[in-house]
Amino acid sequence: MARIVAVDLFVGRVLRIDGVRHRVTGFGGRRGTTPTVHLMPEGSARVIRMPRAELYALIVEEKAALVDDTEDPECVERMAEVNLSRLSDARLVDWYHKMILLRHLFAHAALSPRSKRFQAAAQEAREILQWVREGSGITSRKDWSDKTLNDDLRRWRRSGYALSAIQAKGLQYRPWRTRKPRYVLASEIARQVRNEYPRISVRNVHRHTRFRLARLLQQAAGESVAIEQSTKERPGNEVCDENSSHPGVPQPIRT
Amino acid sequence: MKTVLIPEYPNQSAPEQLDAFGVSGNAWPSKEFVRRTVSTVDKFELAKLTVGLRYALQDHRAIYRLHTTHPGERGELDYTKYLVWLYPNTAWKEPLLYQTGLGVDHMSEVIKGYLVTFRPTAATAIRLYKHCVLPKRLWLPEHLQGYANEWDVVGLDRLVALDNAKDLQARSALMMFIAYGVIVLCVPPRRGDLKGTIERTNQSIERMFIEQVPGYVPMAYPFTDPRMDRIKKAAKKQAKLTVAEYEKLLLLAILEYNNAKHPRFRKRRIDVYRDGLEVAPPVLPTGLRHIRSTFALTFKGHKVTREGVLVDGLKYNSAELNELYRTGVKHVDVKLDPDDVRTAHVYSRELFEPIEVTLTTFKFPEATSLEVARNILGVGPDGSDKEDDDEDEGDETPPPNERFVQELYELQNAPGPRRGRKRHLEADAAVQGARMAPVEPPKKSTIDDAELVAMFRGSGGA
Repeated sequence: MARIVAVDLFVGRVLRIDGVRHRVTGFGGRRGTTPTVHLMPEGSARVIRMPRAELYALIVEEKAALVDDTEDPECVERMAEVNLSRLSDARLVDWYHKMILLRHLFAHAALSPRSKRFQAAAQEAREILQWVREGSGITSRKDWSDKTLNDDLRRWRRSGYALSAIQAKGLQYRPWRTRKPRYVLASEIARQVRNEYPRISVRNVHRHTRFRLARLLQQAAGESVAIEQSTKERPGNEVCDENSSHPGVPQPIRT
Repeated sequence: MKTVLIPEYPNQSAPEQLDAFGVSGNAWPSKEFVRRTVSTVDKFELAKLTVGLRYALQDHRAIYRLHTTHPGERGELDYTKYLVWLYPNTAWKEPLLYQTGLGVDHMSEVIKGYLVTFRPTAATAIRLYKHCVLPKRLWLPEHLQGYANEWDVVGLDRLVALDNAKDLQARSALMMFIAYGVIVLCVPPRRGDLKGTIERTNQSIERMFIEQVPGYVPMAYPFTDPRMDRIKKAAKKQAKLTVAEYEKLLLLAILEYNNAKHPRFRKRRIDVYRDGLEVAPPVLPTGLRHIRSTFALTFKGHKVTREGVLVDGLKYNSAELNELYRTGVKHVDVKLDPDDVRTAHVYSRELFEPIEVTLTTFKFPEATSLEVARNILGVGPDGSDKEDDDEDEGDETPPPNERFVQELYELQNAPGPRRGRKRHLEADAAVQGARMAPVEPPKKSTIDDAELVAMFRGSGGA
């Protein structure tokens, strides 16, 4: 599947390599040696030191993929490759201009379209696009609102940044076909937490959701070493107030 | 936007009028006042108004440093000005002039990829950017694979600055950039400073490493200057290296350059790059099939016949394409990966997905570049057949695999352009052939001619 991937590696990131889930446990190889990524296969305590360049090559070859189970689910029935040659010239220009906008807003995909940061980034992207239009001499009156761009980004992200999710005529709309169980569970828990604590911030809802999700998964799977680690890595998650009305749940930060 | 200040000169022919405005004689405005006023005029704006933006850009340069904040924000591609005399293979008798293409990241100044070519074309421009973007294991030749893990500089750029070279601005190359939404900055003529990082990198690589390479041709004068002939001839006598050997030296030079200190950040360039990845992770294209159809030459509107589609002298067909032909489709678009011509991708308006078509005229046992394939099949870039006056016309052609080995062996060990072949095509092919794994010489028949004659006589006598 053709897509572009932002390879953001950090400790705790899960990768699927040849069908096996690996967790990034650290990085090595600074000061002149080959840079490496330390990977631990799930259910094993063995650490594999893989050169960073080799990991990039595996991602390009699609033998490895970055995994986030709580992200939006994968779509099905997508075009395997992007086909720009089918487009008319005007559509081709639209594609190019939209790609420029979306590439700029790549890092802001998680923000709300009404947030100031997103609006500022979108404005900056439009200025860059205007500069490209002036420089190239190829003008186009096509414009997209912040809301549309945000929808585009979310749809793009939902389809795993597959390039075929972007078509010149707006975006090719694909409904969600399959929702992964963890996704459904996570959204349910998030809703539950929001109902219980209507005044806490989104960050704290996120904390609670991760904690409860991990605990549920632990109960379901019996012993899962990796998930336990992921919850412990987050400061505050293991600190629980026994005297609170909800034992086992971290106390929200009251602001 | 600065406003253009055009000084109004006093009417010198009417002193009484000047008196009316309080201006008389040489008291005011003084010459110094006028000089100062004129000197504050924005010369760029003035030139833009008078001669137009393009020419104004050429003559007036802004004094500032372009700042980028993370790796992958801006890349620059260019070929070096210096040239090097190299032998395509170890057996080649006369050296050829080669150019080196480099791609750099603006922020960290690391070199992202390189390319050595005898003749820059759209295919080499695509290869150069592909080398910059993809992990090095996927394209480095076999004898340099050991360095792939040290050179972990990858990823698509937000903006790529190119000069006016026709090969870099070819339609196929621009299609590649458009597909990934890379902003292409085409630098106007005589404005090398707009992509100063790559120019400076070229200069550093030249001064630090390439100057010492035998066969190095310094660009002391413009290339067409007659004085360059003497320099080129002198350098030609010094030529010793093959392309493969030069590539190894260049790669070592690049790694050393990447590991050298960044002039502003005071740490190694590669560390600047790696630290920057935490802020902005590299953006990688995935899917080998998609990569093959994106980093590819685009042929638009090619005619489909019963025999398939003819692209660049190579004939492709498949059952699906034949089916498409029978439904009445007359023209299709073809994407051809210049590094592997065994298959191509056909796009049509009638299809949701591209069709993979196979080369029908020859079966290559391994990935073969366009130049080598053309050489083996004897076709030019325009699709014309070679004018090879074969002496052994009546001989049987060997099976494809044997023929491939034989041709590749000849290519890797040819002492010069073979008879009936064009020199530049042969040289292009020799370079690409040298990147492939060396092959054993084709085995000769164990039965010699005398034995064959004896066998023939024996069979005739019986």
